[in-house]
Amino acid sequence: MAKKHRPKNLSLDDFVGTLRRRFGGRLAPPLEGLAYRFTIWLPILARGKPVFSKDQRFLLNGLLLDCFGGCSQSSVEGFPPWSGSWLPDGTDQPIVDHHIQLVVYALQDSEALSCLRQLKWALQQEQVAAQQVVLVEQVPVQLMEAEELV
Amino acid sequence: MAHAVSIQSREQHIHALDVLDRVGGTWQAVGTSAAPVFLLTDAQYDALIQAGVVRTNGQEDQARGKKAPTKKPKS
Repeated sequence: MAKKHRPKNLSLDDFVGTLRRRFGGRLAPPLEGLAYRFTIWLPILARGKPVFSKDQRFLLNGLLLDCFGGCSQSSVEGFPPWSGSWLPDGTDQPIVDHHIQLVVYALQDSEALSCLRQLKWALQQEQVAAQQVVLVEQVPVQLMEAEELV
Repeated sequence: MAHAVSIQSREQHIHALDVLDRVGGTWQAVGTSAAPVFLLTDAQYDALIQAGVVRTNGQEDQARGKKAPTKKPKS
């Protein structure tokens, strides 16, 4: 019987490969009508130390392109910078993270939800970036249709 | 004016991310991971040129890409 790979042995590259095989080319949104907008708050610096590396962001960028056909990304030193604080249980010292935002539009269906949920799980694996929580916002939106000007 | 920059290699992609981190604003990527296209503002595009990530015509700076290994003829 073949041994199952345990998640702790897998890298972000492995996770991204699985997601790409599962969802690649299937989740691009319509330009009009119902869609989801997902915003991934990706921490890149915590206490001055890198969290998600440039190589990992490259992988993530490629995955979002292959699954959703595109993405928008904020800069690290944008104005204003995106910062977020959180207080771990049992401590009184908040941790300040600096984030970038990755925004994708997707089909409004369960496949898109499943893809982002699995991606969130992958990003939160200890061996990926030792990040307990990666926030992902999900907003149902309606992309407007044009109306004839008469 | 907006600029569309075709990314030609992994090295160029990562170098571009590095440069765009330091330029204010949001940028977009479209296409596929094999042939991504970055949609950039003037400031972002100028920063990529200054850093040598792209040439003024939007092409990759080959000097920063990986050279293909040359095959030696069999003796």
